[in-house]
This record gives sequence, structure tokens and C-alpha cells, in this order.
Amino acid sequence: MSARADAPLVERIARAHADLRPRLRGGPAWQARRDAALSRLLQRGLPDRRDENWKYLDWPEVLAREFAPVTAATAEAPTPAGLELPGACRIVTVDGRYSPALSDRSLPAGVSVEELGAALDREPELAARLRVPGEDADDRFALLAEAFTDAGALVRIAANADVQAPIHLLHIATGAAASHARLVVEAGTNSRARILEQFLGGGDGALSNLAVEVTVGAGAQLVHMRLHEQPAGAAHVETLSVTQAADSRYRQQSFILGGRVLRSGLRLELAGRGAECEVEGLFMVEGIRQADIYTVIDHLAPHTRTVETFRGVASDRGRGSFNGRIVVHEGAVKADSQQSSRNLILTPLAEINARPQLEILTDDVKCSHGTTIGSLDPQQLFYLLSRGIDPAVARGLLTFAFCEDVVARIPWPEARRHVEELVVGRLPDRDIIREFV
Amino acid sequence: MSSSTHDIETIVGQKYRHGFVTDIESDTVPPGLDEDVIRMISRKKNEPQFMLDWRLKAYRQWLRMREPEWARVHYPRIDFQEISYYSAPKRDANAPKSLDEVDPKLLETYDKLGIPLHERARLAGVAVDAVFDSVSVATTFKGRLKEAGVIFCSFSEAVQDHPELIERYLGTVVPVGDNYYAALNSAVFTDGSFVYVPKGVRCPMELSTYFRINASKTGQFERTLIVADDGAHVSYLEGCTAPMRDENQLHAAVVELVALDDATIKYSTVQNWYPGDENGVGGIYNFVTKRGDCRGRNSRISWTQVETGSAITWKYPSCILRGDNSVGEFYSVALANHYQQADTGTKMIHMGRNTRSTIVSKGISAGHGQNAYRGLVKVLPGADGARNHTQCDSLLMGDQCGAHTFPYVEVRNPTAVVEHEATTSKISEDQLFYCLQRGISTEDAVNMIVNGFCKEVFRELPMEFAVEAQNLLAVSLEGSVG
Repeated sequence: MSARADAPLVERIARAHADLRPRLRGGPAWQARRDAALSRLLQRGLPDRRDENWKYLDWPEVLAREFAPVTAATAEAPTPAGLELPGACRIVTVDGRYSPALSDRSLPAGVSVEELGAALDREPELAARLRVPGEDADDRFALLAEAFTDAGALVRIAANADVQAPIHLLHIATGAAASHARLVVEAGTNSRARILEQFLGGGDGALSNLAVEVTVGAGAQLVHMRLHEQPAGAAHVETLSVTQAADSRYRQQSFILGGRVLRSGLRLELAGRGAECEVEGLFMVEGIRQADIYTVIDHLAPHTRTVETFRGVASDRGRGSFNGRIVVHEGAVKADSQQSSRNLILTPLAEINARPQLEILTDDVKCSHGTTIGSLDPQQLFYLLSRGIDPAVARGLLTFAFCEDVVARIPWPEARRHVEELVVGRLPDRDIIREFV
Repeated sequence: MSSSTHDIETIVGQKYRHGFVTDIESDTVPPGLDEDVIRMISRKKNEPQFMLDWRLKAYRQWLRMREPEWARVHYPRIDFQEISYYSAPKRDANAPKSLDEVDPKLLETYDKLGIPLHERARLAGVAVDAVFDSVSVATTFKGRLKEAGVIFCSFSEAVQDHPELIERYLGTVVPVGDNYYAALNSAVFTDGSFVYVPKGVRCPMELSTYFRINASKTGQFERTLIVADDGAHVSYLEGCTAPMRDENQLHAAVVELVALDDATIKYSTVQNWYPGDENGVGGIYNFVTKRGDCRGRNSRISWTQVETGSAITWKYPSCILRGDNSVGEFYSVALANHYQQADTGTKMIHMGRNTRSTIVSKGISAGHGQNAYRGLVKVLPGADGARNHTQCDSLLMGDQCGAHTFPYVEVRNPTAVVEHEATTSKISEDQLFYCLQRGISTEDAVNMIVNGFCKEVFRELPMEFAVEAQNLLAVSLEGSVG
């Protein structure tokens, strides 16, 4: 394994780490963990296009970027304003580092936030239960993130807390350098909360790499909306790992509307009996942008349920891929799983790749998936044209309506309007379409 | 339900009916593979130089290749030096010219398989090019086919009699270095079938080959090449059974189809090789490369397969839709019972304009069987108006088995319409109850439901095969439900 083709990259990473190591914060526990992550990474290397789950990624674009992260004290750059949600409590990270100065001082009852590194040094049991990434190729960027994370962030929702205020996690990238970060969200037993993660900033040539871990306690309900609106030059790789305990509900909505290359990997484990998840997403790729979505949902316990819905729109030279795997393990009887991926290709040079996969290892289940790739329905188009609507506008309206399948389910009206505005902004004839929607 | 479950278990536990070894002297070379073995095969078969060069090219590529590991199948590593690469039934200098001259023991073998060569052939209007191990023994109905201008013969005969056709088409659909097993096949194949249907000819009968693996420890490397010239039409049937033994056998065949302008090729398979016993011991490894090239405009290639046998099936009959308006079809029933593993599916590569493809795949898993559908639908930028519909259904019987779906859909043209849908289910208690309360026994009910599940595929099979396929399923899977 050591003789992999990416050896120079791994060496680059090792050198960058050696330079940076003395300046990384955190106590001995966190330091030891980072070193372990680095040595695992150097041993196993990063995936490449020969790995089936990474074959569609625009590797030259990712590898051309600097992997060494920015050091501290770049947080002086002007921070873009995020979405304003009424009553929200705002938590800001800058290049992956929790920034108390930019975050709200008072948090709603039951919510706490701190640096992950500090918490790990203080609580050995947290270190013990925190997942060690990097087992398979899907997870290597999480390993990279762990090796370089300076402090990270830990958001906790206390057991039985019913948090009404939206928790707005604003990730801001500064400049054109790389950043690696780790975010941990723990939703306690029977808690309820709604989180909005928003990604802003990052110049041309920037690479941000984020590893997120979410644990949803027994009976907890968590809504997790993720909004990517990085500028068109930034690259972003993220690895999400979600674990759900018995009878928990988790709903994720991710909107991939920015970035030159955006790779989003999700591994979700329905580990407890009766756990249910809804995973929804929308990507729009125009220009030369690329979105590469990979999700794995594991049904590990009986009576678990999944509804996965993805919509994709590709135009110009945009490339989008959806690779979704649902695995029903032995013993996960009465699992119910539905997956749908619908995609639009609007122009001749655009490309969509879809891999909806089911792996089923027990018989008493209900599973289905459906995928379509095509252009707009000519009959719907004709209907609008026959009413005197301009062809370009008609196409725009139908594309907008297609995206509404997912957008209309955003829980906050302000966020919904914001996303609709972003969607319209990616359509040709946007000015006219705004009048209609 | 428990008493009927017991009955079903006896049915499921049935021994493989086609298990026997015919005792015929074989001319077998010692196990092992190097360039000398390939030269020897080529010399024994009296092949022209271009064939030897081609084989050696394949062998040299094969040496540099790695065994594929991406399929969802597990098996001990194969030692390719342990296999004997040539085995031909011994015969006198004069090959049999008619059925009467064929070794009666061979004919007896076919009888046991339920293929009375002459009678069935005449009754059903089927010409049988029966392949026994690696060398074709008898070909019937040559006369009638010759009248129509159709060439249907063993591959070795074709190399002798029509080298220009072989040189022109061999390896143009599946190149020597296409994949690990195809490269191995190209290097060492000993025989197979060759069909050429000339311009404007509709083949007067369905062509059929029965394959059979016989001598112990002999991997069988078949090569089939079917060429349908402009406006030609041919339907080809392939059926397989193999005798029982404990050692795993490798079978790495290659099938190439070429359809020129307005031509149609229909290729049907019933595969019932030895699947191993109920503990997963023994059975055939079936690593096959099948590909059709719709080279001409308005051409059509249709694959229909019923896969009930083999310990491991690794097989993806594909269509390259190169010609404008060409059509590719794939209909499949794959069954995995006991410890069988099936990883099968298709590839539809849309290159020409207005190309259409249909995929219907039915997977049935029982016992500890693992059944995977793996398919690729690719629409290239030039394929305006391409259309694909894929349907994958899985039926699970028992909580130890698995059903998997791994489709790849890659579209690079905005006018394409591609749809994929898949479902997984088991035989519902309601369906069973409905049948039972009308006095239908459990096994009949299961049989009926499974046949209904597979109907869309069986409908595509030629009549004789449809009957055989239903019987096969009835024996292989009834009652894996309790």
C-alpha cells in the first residue's frame, strides 16, 4: 500500500504536518490522536480515481490545490454575513476553528459549544466514544481532517432539551489556503433541535476539508440543514458520519449550490431499533462546477426507516454525480427504505452520473429505489409555450419547479426564500423568472 | 405451515439431476500455462499464423493484468497453473460425418440430459452444434442451413474453412485485453461456435448449442462469434449442464455478436451448471464475457438469460449501440440458492442517435445465496434521443440470503431519457394465504408466484427454453419459503 501513486501527495502532507505540528493547539490527548491519524493516513494514503466511490471526482482540480492548512491568526479577514434567521443563535467557525468572538454570547438553554480539542483533553470518555476515522477509502479525508485539526468544534444539545431557536452554524473560510476541521454534534436523549449549517467564503484555489460527526441519542429529533454557497473557485471535501440510536429521527437537507468542486460523503447508521432518517438534497452545477455526492445508509436494527430524495440539475459543462448506497444488514427486519434520485441535464456538455445501490441481507424488508436522468418534459414545456410564455422562461420555471421538490421542505421561511433566490440565480433569464416566483 | 415446509425442504434438498461423468478417453495436456502450451493448442488445432499471433498477444497482455476484485463474490484464489488447458475427446483420423458415426457413449450422455439429438432437433427444427468438452462432435441440419447460406459450425472448422471471416471479426467486440478472463480465454480457447448469416437472410431455424463440461480439472474456454450481415436475422440458443464433482471448475467463455445494418440477433441462454452442494462445496465458476456490437443502423441485439446454476456467476452480457436507431435488450432471471453467488447484469453503451435499450432483471435469492445486479447505462454526447428503461426486481426467500443492486447510470447528453427502478420484496404472507385457502399447496403457490415474478423474462425465451426454464426454477427454488 505504501507504493501508491499518490505517494508524493502523502509526502507533501507529511512535510506540511511536521511544519505545523508545534503550532497546533490542544493537550497531550488531542495531540496523540492527531499523530495517530497522521500515521494511519501516511500508511493508507488518500483514495484516487481507481476507487469506485471516488471515480467521478475531478481529481486534477482537487490535487492542484495546496493541502497545507492555514496557521492561526488569519481570522482578521472581513467575514461575510450569513443568512439572518429570526431568533437564531449563531455559532461561527473560521477556517474550521470555533470563534467565540464572532458567535452569539448567550446560547439557548440546553445548547453548549466549545473547542473540540479542549473538550477531548478534559473528558477522556468523549475521546473514547469519538469515532476513529479512516477504516476504508471513503473515510480517508476524515483522517486527513483529524490529523490537521487545530481545535475543531463541539456542539452539544442536552438530554431532554427542546431547543426552539434555530442553531445557525456558520462556517467561514478565509483566503485561498487550505483548512481542515472537525465538527462534532451530540444530540442527547429525547432532545429536539434544528441546526442550519451554512458555508461561505473561500477564494479561488482554496480547499476546505471538513469531517462532521453527528450522534442522535435515543428518542432525539434533529433537523440538520446544510447550505453550501461557497464561491465558484473553492473546493470543498466533507465526510459526514451520523449515528442514530433507538427511536431517533434525523432529517438532513443539503443544498449544494456553490464551489468549483464539492464532494460530500455521508455515512449514516441506523443503529437503534425504530430509528428513522430522511436525507434530502439538491445540487445545481453550472459553468465548470462539479458536485460529487456519496451517501451510505446502514440499516443495522429492526424497524428502521429511510427516505432518501436527491435532485440534481446540470447545465453548461457542469458535472454532477449521485452515488447512494443503502445496506440492510442481517437482522434489520422490517426495514423500510426508499431512495429516489432525479436529475436534469439542460445542455449538451453537461454530465450526470447516478449510482443508486441497494444491498439487502435479510428478507423481511421493503426497499425500492428509482433514478431518472433526462431533460424537461416536452409536454409540460408545450403547456407553458401554448400560453404565450417565452421558451427560455418556461424552461427556467420548470427547472425551478423541479428543485422545489426539495426546497419547499425547508423548515424556515427565511431560509427557504434564501435558497429559492440562489436557485433562481443559477437559471438563465433569472431576472424574468424572479417575477413569476 | 410447518408440515408443508418439510415437504418443501425435501424438494429444495434435491440432488443435482444432471450429475454424472461420462467415461470417455480424453486427450488432455498436463496442467499449466505458458507460451509453449498456447503454441501447442494452436498447432493441435492446425491454426493459421494470425491465430497464434493473436493468442500470444492476448497471453502477454493477460500476464500483466490483475484478477478483478470488484465483483461482490468470494472464492479461494484460482491457481491458473493447476488447470489443464486442452482436453479433446479422442477420435480417429476420420471425424464423424453424421450422427451414426458419433461415439454412442456421447449420444447416451445427451440422452441423459434430455436432449435426444436427432429426434428433438428434427421435431423442434433446431440444429444442434453439440460441444462436448472442447471439441465439437456433431453438427446437424448443416444441409438446410447451407442452402440458406448460413454458416454454423464449430470455431475450429471456421478457422480452417473461413479464416477471412474469423480474421475480420474475431476480437473486434471483445478485444484481447478487455478484461482478465477475456484475455485468458483469447489465449487458450480451444473451440466454440461460429455463425455467419449473410446479407438479407433470415435463418430458417433456431440455432442451438449444448455445452457440457466433462473431464475433471479441465477449465473450459469457449469462444462464440455470431455475425449477422445486413438485414440478417438469427436466433441462437445456448444451454448448459455439467456433471457433479467436488472441485471447483473454471469456465471463462467469451461470446461476441456483431449486427450490421438492419440485422437482428437474439441470444438466449439457460445456464444450469453444477452449483455446488447444499454446503457450498464444489460448483462451477462461471466468469463469462458476452458482448454484442450493434454496428449497423437499425440493428438489434437481444440477450435473454436464465441463470440457475454455477457456484459463482460473473457475467454481464452487454450491447454497444453504435449504429443509429439500434436497439439493445437484456432480460434476465438469476437464481442463487444454497451458497451460490451471482453477480450479473448488463452494459448498454449508447453511441448512435435514437438508440434504445431495455433492461429487465429478476433476481431470486434463497438459502445463503447472494444475488447482485450490476449494470451500466452510458449515454455518450453523440447519442441524441437515446432512451433506456431499467427495471430490477429482487425476490428474497429466507433471512440468510442477500439481494443487491449496483447500477451505474452515466449520461452526457441532454436529450437522453434514462430511468432506473428497483424493488426488493419477499413472497408475502397474503399472496400465499390467498392461494392456500383456495386449496393450492404451498409449493405450487410458491412456484406460481415465482413464475409470475419472472414472466416478463420467460416471455422472451423461445418456446422450448421457456418450458425448460420453468422446470429448472421449480426444482431449484420452490419451497425456500417456509
